[in-house]
Amino acid sequence: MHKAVTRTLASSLALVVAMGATAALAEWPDHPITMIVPYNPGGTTDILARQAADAIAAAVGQPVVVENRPGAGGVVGATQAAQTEGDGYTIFFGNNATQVIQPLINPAVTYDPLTDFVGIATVADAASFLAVNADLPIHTLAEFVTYLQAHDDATYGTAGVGSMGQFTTEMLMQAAGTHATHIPYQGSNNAMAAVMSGEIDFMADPVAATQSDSDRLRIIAALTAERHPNLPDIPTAREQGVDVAITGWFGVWAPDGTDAAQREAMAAPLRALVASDAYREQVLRMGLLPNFRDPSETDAAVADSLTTFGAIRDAAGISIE
Amino acid sequence: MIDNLILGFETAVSASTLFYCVVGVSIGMFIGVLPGVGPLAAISMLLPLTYYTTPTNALVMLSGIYYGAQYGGSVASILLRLPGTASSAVVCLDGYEMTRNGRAGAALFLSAMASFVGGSIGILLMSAFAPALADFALRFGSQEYFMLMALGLIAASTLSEGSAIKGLAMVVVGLVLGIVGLDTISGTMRFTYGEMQLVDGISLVASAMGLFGLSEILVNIGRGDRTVSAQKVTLRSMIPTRQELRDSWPAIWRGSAIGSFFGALPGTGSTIAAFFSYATERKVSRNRARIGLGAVEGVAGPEAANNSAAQTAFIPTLTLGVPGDAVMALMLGAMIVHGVQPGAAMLNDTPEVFWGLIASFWIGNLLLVIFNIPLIGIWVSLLRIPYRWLYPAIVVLIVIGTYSVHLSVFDVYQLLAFGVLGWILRVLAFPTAPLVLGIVLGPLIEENFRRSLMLSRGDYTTFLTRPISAGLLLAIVAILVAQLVVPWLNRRQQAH
Repeated sequence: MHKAVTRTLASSLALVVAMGATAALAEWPDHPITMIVPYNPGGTTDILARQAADAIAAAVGQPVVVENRPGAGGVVGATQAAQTEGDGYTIFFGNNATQVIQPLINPAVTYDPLTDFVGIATVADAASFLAVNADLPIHTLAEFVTYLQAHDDATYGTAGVGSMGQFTTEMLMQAAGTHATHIPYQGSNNAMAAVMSGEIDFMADPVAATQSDSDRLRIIAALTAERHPNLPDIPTAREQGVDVAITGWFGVWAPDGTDAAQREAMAAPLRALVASDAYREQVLRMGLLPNFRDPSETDAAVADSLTTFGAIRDAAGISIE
Repeated sequence: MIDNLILGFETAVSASTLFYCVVGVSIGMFIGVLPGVGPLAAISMLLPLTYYTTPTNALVMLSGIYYGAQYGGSVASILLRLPGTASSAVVCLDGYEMTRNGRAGAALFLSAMASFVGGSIGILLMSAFAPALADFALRFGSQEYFMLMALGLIAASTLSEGSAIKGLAMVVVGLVLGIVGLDTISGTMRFTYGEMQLVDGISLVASAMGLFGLSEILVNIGRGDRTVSAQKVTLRSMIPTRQELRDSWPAIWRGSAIGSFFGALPGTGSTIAAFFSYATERKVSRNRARIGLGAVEGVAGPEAANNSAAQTAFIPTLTLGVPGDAVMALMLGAMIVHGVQPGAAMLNDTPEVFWGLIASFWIGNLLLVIFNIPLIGIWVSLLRIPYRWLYPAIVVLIVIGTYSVHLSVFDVYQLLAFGVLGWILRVLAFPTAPLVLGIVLGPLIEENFRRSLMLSRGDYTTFLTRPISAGLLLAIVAILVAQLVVPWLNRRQQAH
């Protein structure tokens, strides 16, 4: 009860501040807002999107209708969102696949994440883990590097060519100065099954966190800046002497042209959402990290990642045609 | 195991859990009957609602939708040649022929019975051997999946009546259509022509609905209102004859075994299991000559197979934390949101959830049979509706169902294209079932073949040095010899 009151107070306070900022807010929103989610209902992105939609709806006083537009790894929905008018009535729930990776590797992507979208907020960061088959004599990142140096036929699995997992692994191997062969699978879960059965040696993917109790797969490093609160015994790669910390995020964007005051008005309730205990607990359980970025920080995160991931792409030669 | 099951039933028969079980299987059966709307759409829409109940209740309900859909899926297949779910597409072949022979009621009865037996066998295996089966499933690597799918291709070419060459041609067309989309291994877009909606490949639901359901309607247009509905629905026509029952049993056992096997493998599933079962019946059942003309084995086998597969599909999800298909991945996500961690530790950490789920499967299957048998009369009486009223309603349902899968109008265009293609093929007497199987198997075969060679660094002996893969290869060779060489020898002998 108390929490809810605080949350409502915080968000309404933020809203009042934001509302004072401009007259554009006087009439907005006078009808429901559409939130395009570029994946099927029920997945990680969709679960987060619906919570963000509810929070925004409660703050602005109009329903936020979630519209799932799945297909082509998020590109179908993102393309549709990029083509709509920036009038404050269409927003987009994306992640770094739609805002960074696909624009970098897929020549069929017609939108530009920097000029066609403006950031509203991020609501969670993805946390990747390096996991190896449990039968391998690898318990630390140092042993991992030694093993790869001794075995040039080592293999790693990913959710497909140009997936976040491939970028993460290539970044790790560039930092560690090692090499392994990429074996693509149809989705993270199939790649994980292959690590568990020993068909391949290792993977770097958020899904590994679901196997922290498994005796078939061993997590040896968190590839984030800090340890994950739910897996506090897993040291980060940096702690183990390899300077890698990769960030993926989930967040809300608007088509270019959306009024800054409106973006602020939608960011404020999201800040309160990410600060709430119930949300933090659930996001941690999903293996993610709750992390709010305001509109300008969100734009900066996209620009930063485009540079970092672009460099990995060029060095590792990742592309789809 | 007995202690565990008692624990499970204590959980499952509590009033609230029982309620969620009833709701789950009812929704499942209903969406199974509706053409095109599959468990994926229903589960993803209901997922947010389950946050307000306990993890066990949520999972009991969502699972109920999953296996309940298999029961309902065959209803429209049998009555209208309209697959309710992709996994019941193959039931159209003999199920609809039975309807045309005036045995719709018997077909529905046998399908419910086969579903129940198949489901029960799947659950039994799961309660007794879940960890062992999960270990076994993990021994299937890319090489084994390739061999298994290759075996499926051979089965596909024997799926249909009539000319073997035409059947083979349709398999090849299916494989070619399966190429469309993003190639997993190289990341190349193939035959997408810049259309983003084709990146994920040809829609299986749209192709199955179009080739089976819509084409049937197109074929009947212009034939006047001549219908199968003229038949009288008597009690006698609803109950299988003793002969039909006797013929069904072996098919049900075989189907259950095939289904349990494919369900436990992440990466195959109930659709492939049903096709394999049908192909098996065509080769080994006593009435094999009549399969395709309305034989009970062609209904009972695949129905037992897809239901047992729907149960054993929970094995890798629950005991390994590795979901076998998109629906299972969704269920896994639901468990994690609810704080239940599937995987090796689930049996120890949350035994009441695991065994409660298994107990709810038993109860759910029993409920589904009890719901289904009285409904048979109602389903059959649907056939009395004149086609001029029934068909427009069906077309609307197919379109909505296909649209609901990806919320995509593009999929509706695919549906229409496949409907016209199916109509042309039927006019030319080409079978459509091998085409659908080709679309299902094509991407899997190619992906696993190429991945095997990547793993072995181009060494083809990798298919021979792995025991399971070599065994499957031997089976393929044996079938080819039996199919091609033996008839040739016989002909030579007769010639002399």
